[in-house]
Amino acid sequence: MASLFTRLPDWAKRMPLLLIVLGLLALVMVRYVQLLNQPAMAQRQLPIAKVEVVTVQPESISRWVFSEGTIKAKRKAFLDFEYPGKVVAIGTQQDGTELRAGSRVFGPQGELNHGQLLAQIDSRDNSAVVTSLQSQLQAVAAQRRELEARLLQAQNERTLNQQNYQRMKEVHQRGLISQDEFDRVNTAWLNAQASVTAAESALAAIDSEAKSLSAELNRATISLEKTSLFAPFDGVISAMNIVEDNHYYLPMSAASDRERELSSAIVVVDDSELEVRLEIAGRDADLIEEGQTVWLASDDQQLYQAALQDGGEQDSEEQGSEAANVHQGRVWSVSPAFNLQQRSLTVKVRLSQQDGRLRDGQFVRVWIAAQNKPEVLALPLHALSFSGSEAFVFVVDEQMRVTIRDVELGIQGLNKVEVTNGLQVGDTVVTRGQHLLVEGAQVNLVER
Amino acid sequence: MQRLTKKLFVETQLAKLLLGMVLLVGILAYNGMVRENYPDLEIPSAIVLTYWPGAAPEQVEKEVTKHLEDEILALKGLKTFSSGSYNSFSVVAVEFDADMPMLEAMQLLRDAIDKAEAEFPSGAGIEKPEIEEMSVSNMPVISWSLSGKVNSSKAGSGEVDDLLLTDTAKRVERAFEQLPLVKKVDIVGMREKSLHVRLDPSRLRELGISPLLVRERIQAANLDMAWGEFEAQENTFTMYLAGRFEQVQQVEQLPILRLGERTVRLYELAEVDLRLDRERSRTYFSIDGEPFQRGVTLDVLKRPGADTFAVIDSTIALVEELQGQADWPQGLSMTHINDDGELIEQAFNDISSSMLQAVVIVFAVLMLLLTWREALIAGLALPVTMLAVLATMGALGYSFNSMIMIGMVLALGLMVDVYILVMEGMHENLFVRQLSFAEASMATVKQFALPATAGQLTTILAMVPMMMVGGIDGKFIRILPITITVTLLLSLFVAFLVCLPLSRYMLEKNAANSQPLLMDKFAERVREGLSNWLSRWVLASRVHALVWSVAAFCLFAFSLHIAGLLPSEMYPEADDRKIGVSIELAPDATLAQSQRVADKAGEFLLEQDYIEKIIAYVGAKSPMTTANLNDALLPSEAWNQVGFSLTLLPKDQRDSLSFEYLEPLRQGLDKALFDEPGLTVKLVHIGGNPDTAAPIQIDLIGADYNQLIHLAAEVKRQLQSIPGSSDVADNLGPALNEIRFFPRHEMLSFHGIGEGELAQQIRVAMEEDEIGHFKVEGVEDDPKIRLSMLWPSRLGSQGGPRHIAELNQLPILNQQGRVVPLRELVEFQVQPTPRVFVHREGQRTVTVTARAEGRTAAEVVADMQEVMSELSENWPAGYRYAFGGEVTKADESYGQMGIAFLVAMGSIFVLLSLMFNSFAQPLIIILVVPLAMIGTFFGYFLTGTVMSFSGLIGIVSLAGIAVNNGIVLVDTMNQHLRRGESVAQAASLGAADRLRPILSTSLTTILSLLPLAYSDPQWYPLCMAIVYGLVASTLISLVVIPAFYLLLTKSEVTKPVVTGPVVKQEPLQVSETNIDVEGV
Repeated sequence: MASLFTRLPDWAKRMPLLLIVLGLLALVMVRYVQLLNQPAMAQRQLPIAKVEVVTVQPESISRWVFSEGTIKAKRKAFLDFEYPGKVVAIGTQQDGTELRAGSRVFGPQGELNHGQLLAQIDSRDNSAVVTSLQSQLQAVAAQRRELEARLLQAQNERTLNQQNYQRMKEVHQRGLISQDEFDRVNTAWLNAQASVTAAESALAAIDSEAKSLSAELNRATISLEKTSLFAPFDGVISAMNIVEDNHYYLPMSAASDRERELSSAIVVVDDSELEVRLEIAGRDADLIEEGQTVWLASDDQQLYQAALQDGGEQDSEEQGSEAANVHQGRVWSVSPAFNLQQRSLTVKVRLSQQDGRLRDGQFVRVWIAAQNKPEVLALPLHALSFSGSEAFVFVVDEQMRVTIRDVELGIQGLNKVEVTNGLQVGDTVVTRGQHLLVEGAQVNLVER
Repeated sequence: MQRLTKKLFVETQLAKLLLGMVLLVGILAYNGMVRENYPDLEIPSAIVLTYWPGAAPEQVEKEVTKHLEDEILALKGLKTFSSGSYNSFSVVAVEFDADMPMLEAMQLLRDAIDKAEAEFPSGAGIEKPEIEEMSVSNMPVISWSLSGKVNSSKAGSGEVDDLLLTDTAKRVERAFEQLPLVKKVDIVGMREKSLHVRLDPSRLRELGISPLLVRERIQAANLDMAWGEFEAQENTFTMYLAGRFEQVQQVEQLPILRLGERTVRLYELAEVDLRLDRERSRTYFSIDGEPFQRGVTLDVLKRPGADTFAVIDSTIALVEELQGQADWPQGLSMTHINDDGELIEQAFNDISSSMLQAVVIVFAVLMLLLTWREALIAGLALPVTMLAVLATMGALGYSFNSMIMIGMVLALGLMVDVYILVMEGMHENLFVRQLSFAEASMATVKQFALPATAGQLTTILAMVPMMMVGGIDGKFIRILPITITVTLLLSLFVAFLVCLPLSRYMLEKNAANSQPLLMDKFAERVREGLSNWLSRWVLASRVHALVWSVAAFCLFAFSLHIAGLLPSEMYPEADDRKIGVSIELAPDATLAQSQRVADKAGEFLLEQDYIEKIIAYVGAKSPMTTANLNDALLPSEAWNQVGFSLTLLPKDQRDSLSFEYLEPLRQGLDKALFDEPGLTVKLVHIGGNPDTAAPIQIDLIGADYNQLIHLAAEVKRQLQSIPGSSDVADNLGPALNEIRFFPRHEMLSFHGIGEGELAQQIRVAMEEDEIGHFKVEGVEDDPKIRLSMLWPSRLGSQGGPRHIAELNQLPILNQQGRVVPLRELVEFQVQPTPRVFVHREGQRTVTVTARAEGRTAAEVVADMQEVMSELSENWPAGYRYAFGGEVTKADESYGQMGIAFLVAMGSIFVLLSLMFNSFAQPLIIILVVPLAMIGTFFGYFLTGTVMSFSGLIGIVSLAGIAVNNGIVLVDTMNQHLRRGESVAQAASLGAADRLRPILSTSLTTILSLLPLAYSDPQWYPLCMAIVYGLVASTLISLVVIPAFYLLLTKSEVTKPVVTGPVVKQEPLQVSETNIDVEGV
């Protein structure tokens, strides 16, 4: 190696060294330039937030007023005897068993002044008369049926004889039968006519007998009223506070329905027409008007399901089956004055029912569809942001930037709230991801 | 004296004894020391937890947190404190100076809290504040999952199994917490079991019964009481009222009220059953890409300073024991999901394998430099010294951690120098001077003991000031200089007291045979050339020398300029198998929405083949993302939180380093969640940073949280826009809409409802408050009795109302049992309110945090500073901002390092002036240091290495090592001068003479550092600072030191000094030598 070096010229010996130095210098320069230019490469870029949006469309929104109350049958009778006495009889149902709470009874029908006899205290004479009259009446009715049958028979016979008479008369004129024969036929027809007349008069007689018997019975039962109870209308017995052979005492004066319910001998209600009295607190009272639709159910859970399905406010997480126990009624009356005790308005709601599932005295939740706006802009509640207590929303424009829009809120539905001012149809409003946004931020819309 | 030295250095008994002792103690230490990856520093910090059930954040802030803060503020040694006031509790995080003793700090804190407690409103039901000591990193050391084999995948299938799961999880938790080293166990995904009394609102209204009456009745009936003693004639009894509920039926049948004839019993009004509480969070786990399995996760946290392995082993043993017990439920199993032990083992193996490689390399170099016998002795001395170091560090109270190993690797090149020195001395004395072993040994000691000590001493002096750096970083890094110091001292000890006497066995018999070594031949050849070249080009005249010196300093100046351009960060990225993922949904998200997000993200994560284990948290944060003290302030369980704890495959089984996966992970998650709005995704990768706090922090300070939230949103957006920032978050989170109710007092009094009554009734309606305990047999925790409302819109499931309308119609019962709707009694407003009221240093503060990726935190902050000053111009008065985090801390730490460096240089100078009895010559030696830095700066610059705190440590260490070259050079030159040669001759010959030792010293040091440098990017800057610096200093010092020597030495012969080096008084005259070494 050493010999190799000595043979080379001086500059050549240093070639490798020189190259290394030059190379290093070049490297240093390159890196230096790189380092100086580095900050220029970096570009600032504002982040783009992902948000979920909803496009504002007109839709219907309902405002509900919530209340509760106790169902009362429109007609309810607390029946009491006029005198104390031993309870001697309790009426019977169709199947002959004794009447009890829950038994259906009939009220006065047709000419009868009284409904079904429900119970009686000791008043044997009167009741015997009534009973005999009632049985006479029934006997007359049987006679009448018999007479009616007889009349029919006579009429048939008359028709037959008349035809016979006509035919014989023709034959007689042609001289085919004797006068004697013809007279016999003629007599038979006259007889038949007479027997129809007789039957008709018998029927009229029996009818008048029945009438007089009914009048007699009515008279007898009026005297019996003081010792008996009759169903005042078609309905159901809701309380039976007497027992046969027990003594009956007159109740102490009762002030409230609750007390009367306990002390009256028999309570009969008509559950086809129901009424609920509501006390609507001051703030909601202005919204209630006659005729508004009302939903009732024994608990809110069913009402929620019904309202969400009916009101068109979909909530994907709640998919209940059609609520069967929800009933519909109408606001019947709204009291014009505030109730001084509770500072509330008394509102009455009426509804009718066939199936009898709502019972008198039942406690129900009542939702009144107080306001329904069919074509308004509405937003889900979680789209709203608040600053102080002012609501605002983020609206996405065509450049995918958000702007803050102050909004005024109107009525509140279950999930949505009406926007009365600040939005137009077709505006795109951010519903999720607002917490990442500030005025002017760029966003990406997310579909789900 | 003679005898003593003979005993010490010549005879072998003592050496053998010492060797035996070192081996024994070393091995004991190796087996017995607490092992950790990073040292678990005892930083005195704690959180103070105060519960106040039912209080709103606002109340908690004013009545609890503020009093605590007022007292804490004045504490001695307080570094920083922050607090969070929540619904029902207050957390104050307190951090003391890192160097304050834990005991003292806790005592002070306790006193302060006692004082503050006196200020709390009395009778409000505020519980006593609890103090929990915190470690720097609060990550679980081991995570278990309790899952059913039976009801594996289907969520919530079978109530019975869930109940069993809860019972068992409770049982395991209790067992774990009884272990002495376990600080606490965090259970996630478990639903507590309570006796739920869920009132039916419509029944209450119907009967006009207030919920408060029900509560009163239950509480009154659920009573046990001792009734004293009954003394009979002959004996005594104690009497006891056993009223507490033991059976659900008892509660159901509890009479509440008599309504006329009728007794209203509880079952009429409420559903009573022993069931699980409302679901708050769920956890799943997956190992090796298997599908996710639902389970209850138990994260075990160790006490600060406890041995991780011991904690892991004890829990594993406990689980085995529990599962082996006869009453362990058949269907349940505990799965060991992940633990730190594995990770520590891995990190250990990495570092110890690079340590082993370093030892092998050094040994190979030794074979080049010495005869094989000498090399063998020196080589064997290495492990012996290391064991001794380990034992010493153990005795000093340190754990066996990575930092100690790093310190040993750094010191390896230096300690081996001592052995080379001693062995070469022996070689010289035995074979060249043909002395007997005893004479040779004594001669070697005389010759080299002082220079060797001096050489090591200069290095130690460079290290010592580093120990003075304060703060967490200082405390963390302090282990390095301590280890190096201990290693160097012990290497001297081992070299002279063990190697020297024991070399008798290897060297004595082979005295005859000696042949020149390869290295010697090479040195011989280059020596001549170097000497000539120096004489001709450098030492030809003082002008020549001056030109070289000036050139060198120009180069240094240029390198300083370059160093200014280098990017810098506090800690370089390091590989870490743990990555935490935190996904935050909109603040009003439901658990179902979180679950959907988690499903999508989980699916993506399962596909990643570099992930070994995943724990998914739905409705909670991953503990990996809440390791920091400040994070501990924030709510970790909320429905809008989704978290994943990822454990990557071991480093050798995947393609890239952990932090290189962050970007693809983020993008992948983004893609997987493309259709989910309003998410904030954050990745947490701790790496090698001892401080787990976010490197970029901006505090926004002001009076109104809503304003702060608003400002924070804008700052976050801007911060996100700055390139290099990632995982931007703030510690307050988005505001929740709060409905504030204002009572209408007139209406209340009209309806006869007291304000307190109103509040209580609503509380019962909205919450699941605990109203007592239900008795169970044995020592199991009694389940709580919780009173709540059965809300119709929940359709029978647990939870509060779902529609605003439902709130409006919330019924309030008055004394008469009449219902008044809430709407009548209160006015309300919707207002955005933060979930938590956060304070920093007692002020309302929002902290925006971010990590830097691809750029350094300092660069991001520099960009952000401009933006912030622009932004803040439009802020309302009274709002301001402050930067915090790594950058401010880095300034502090860098400053301290600068001071440490100056102190090091100063003390080295003092030592050298004493040794050389001169001021000029130490100056020559010290001047090597800046020249060495040329190498570091250029090396960093050319390879694009980021300047970091550990790079600075490397530079300071480099100073200590580079000085050694200077010492031997000047020393040899002085010897030549003493022989009567001219200064120029002395300089050139001296340089040529020391070429070989300098080369060998540098070579061993450089080569021993390379394996570590390439094992983990974390250590790269540290090692390479030394490597580049040594390369440069070796080259430059061989050329420039002679030039300095020529310039600074007068050609007079002076008297020799005891130490050997010749010293002459020399006036300080060269102005250019007053270099500013500060500008690093």
